[in-house]
Amino acid sequence: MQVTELILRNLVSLSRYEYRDRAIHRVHPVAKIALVAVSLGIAIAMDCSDVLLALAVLATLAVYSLGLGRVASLTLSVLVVFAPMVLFVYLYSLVALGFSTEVLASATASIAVALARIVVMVLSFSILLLTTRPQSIARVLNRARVPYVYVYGVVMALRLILVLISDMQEIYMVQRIRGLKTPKGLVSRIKSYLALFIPMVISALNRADELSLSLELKGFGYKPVRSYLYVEEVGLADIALVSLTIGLLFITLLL
Amino acid sequence: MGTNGAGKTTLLKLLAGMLKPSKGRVYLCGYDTREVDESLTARFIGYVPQNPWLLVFNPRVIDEIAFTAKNFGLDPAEAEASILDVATRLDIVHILNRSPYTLSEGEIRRVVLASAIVHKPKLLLLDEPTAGLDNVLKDRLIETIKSLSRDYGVALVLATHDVEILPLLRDFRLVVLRDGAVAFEGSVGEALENPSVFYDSGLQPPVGVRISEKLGAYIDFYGVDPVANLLLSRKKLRDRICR
Repeated sequence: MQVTELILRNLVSLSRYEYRDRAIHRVHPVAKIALVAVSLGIAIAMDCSDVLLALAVLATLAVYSLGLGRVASLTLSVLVVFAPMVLFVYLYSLVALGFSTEVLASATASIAVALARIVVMVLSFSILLLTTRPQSIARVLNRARVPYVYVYGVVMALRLILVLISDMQEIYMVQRIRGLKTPKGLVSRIKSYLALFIPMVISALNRADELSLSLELKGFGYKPVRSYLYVEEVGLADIALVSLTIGLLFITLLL
Repeated sequence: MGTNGAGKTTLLKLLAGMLKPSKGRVYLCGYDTREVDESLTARFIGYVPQNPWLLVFNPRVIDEIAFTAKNFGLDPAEAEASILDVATRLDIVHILNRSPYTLSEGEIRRVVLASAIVHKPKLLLLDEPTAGLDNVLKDRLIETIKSLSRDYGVALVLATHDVEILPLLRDFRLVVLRDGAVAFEGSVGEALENPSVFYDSGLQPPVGVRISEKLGAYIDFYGVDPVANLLLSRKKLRDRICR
């Protein structure tokens, strides 16, 4: 499979909610948002052992929630995206500090931890976005006094990104069938990307236009307060996830 | 042919090599699409997607058509002759210097078709080519596609749920899909003579077939052929058929 295809496919799946009959899908969004916040904090501020612990917990939770195949595919995409940066860091370390076993080992360890931090962030966001209805996230943020017009703006932007990435996949495939190749020279390469970029922009504008029209026709934004069809209830699964999040936070702070 | 979600577009993408089959094999001009990159098989294929706007990016229509010709290495003279020939057949010569973004739906479909066929592929794949067109444009487009395919020696595969174009494709082979599986395979003529093919797949037969069905039911019920019965006024006949 083409690397670009793999990345595009995973970008599409990164924030596409799909219902499965699992306890994690019924967990209150606030509990998941708390998990994301704690995971982000650990990924950004904590040291190696804390990050690895968070990675182990999140990977287990992600495999349970999303399935092994999807988690493996997501992780592989992250590694592929960051591969050029990893290569640059290796080369820079070896050139700047000289080639030795210690430098090589130290660079490898640093890169592994950096990648673990990124995977922790990606997995925590995936658990939130892939197992929570966008409307539920909107409702929770709305209850936190964020105006629903802005909340829905964010939720719709997330969904629109998916649609656009899916359009991008289609454009990429169709232009390849028309014989589009990626030439070697920089200018030619940039020119060849216009074949993808321009239809993408046109498609985005058309979709945004249709979306705004349909929202207006449905009365979106006419009243400052709105009601919600679904109400999330707190259950045992919420208590379990919140306990896990608090436990993870305490262990990493105490370690 | 098939209802929405029956698998028509997926099948076209498999044929084009854009998707690789998870089971079975697709051979395109002798190449197994699972084993070769689509850039190798692309020159055998012309593909017209359901949404033509996904292809267009050049400032002028002529550049849009020339893009495919250049990609497949046609020399300038050959490309120019081919562009003119295709443009003449598709009746878009007068818009060659216009921006694609100023064109109507019918015109942009013809432009995209021209760009898909300019390199003379062996197989032309069209996904819902008549979507969004009125009946006159539909008929004209189908006739043009047929004549292009005949003159250029291109095999033609159309995916559509538009049953009204079937009478124009009587000599075509029809495959009706339902839930990703083949529900019927035979000639268009056979399907038109046996409307249950459509009903069984969640489709409705063309209007002409439905009218003839209603006429048949009328004759069975009243024992009178309303068309042959000259005493019956047109209005009465229409009222009875509608009832």
